[in-house]
Amino acid sequence: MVLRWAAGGAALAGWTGDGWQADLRYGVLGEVLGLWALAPVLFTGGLLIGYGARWAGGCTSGHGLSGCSMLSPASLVTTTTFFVTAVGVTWALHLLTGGAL
Amino acid sequence: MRWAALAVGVPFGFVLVGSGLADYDVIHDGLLFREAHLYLMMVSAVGTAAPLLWLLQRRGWRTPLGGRLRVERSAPARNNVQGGLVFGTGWALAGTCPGAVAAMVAGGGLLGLIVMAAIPLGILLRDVVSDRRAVVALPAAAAET
Repeated sequence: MVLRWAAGGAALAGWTGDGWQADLRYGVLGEVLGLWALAPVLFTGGLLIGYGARWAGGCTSGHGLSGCSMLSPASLVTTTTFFVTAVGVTWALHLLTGGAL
Repeated sequence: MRWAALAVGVPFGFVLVGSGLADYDVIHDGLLFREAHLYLMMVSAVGTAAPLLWLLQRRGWRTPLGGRLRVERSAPARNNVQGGLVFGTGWALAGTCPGAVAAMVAGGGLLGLIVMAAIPLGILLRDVVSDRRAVVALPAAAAET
């Protein structure tokens, strides 16, 4: 519910910025992959995000922000794990693509 | 309750976009240690909330909706590491997370819709797998006794 309203706040931020504008860009990943390769990568990423968040009992907001603020050991462990994993995977992508990503 | 979600969610989304965390490049550069944005945001958020929560709990503060504030600290379990490994991989791949992707789409990044559509499917898949495990484990446990 909170995350759903986050979208409202985000739209507000865009509106108060340079005006709202839709686009199909996805940063460097979009430039490297192109639209047709990007779509399955994003879909796979989303699947892993959902699967992992359910398994771990939370995501970057639930464990990373809320849980860590409560100094909950489960959240500290989860946050450390996903941060270390994400850094490792990102560096692997960076090196495998010869620095393109 | 709905209004509380509105009151918390709108500023959260606003901050996510404003801080750039709804951007693939900001997350990606953060994870490559090229940019400190990601870490500064997380540290400042936790650094603000943690002492406030500690103080509110100590003073026995009552929340407007949920009674007395109680900070629950759960012990880490194996699923925290397993889920964290899967989640971290997805986070690195898509350069976004469940909160940030909502902000990305609302900010005009339409490709975020693909991630947004896949997240509930991932949740569903996890539930199917864990339910199946439970069903398989039951007869096995019964056979042992």
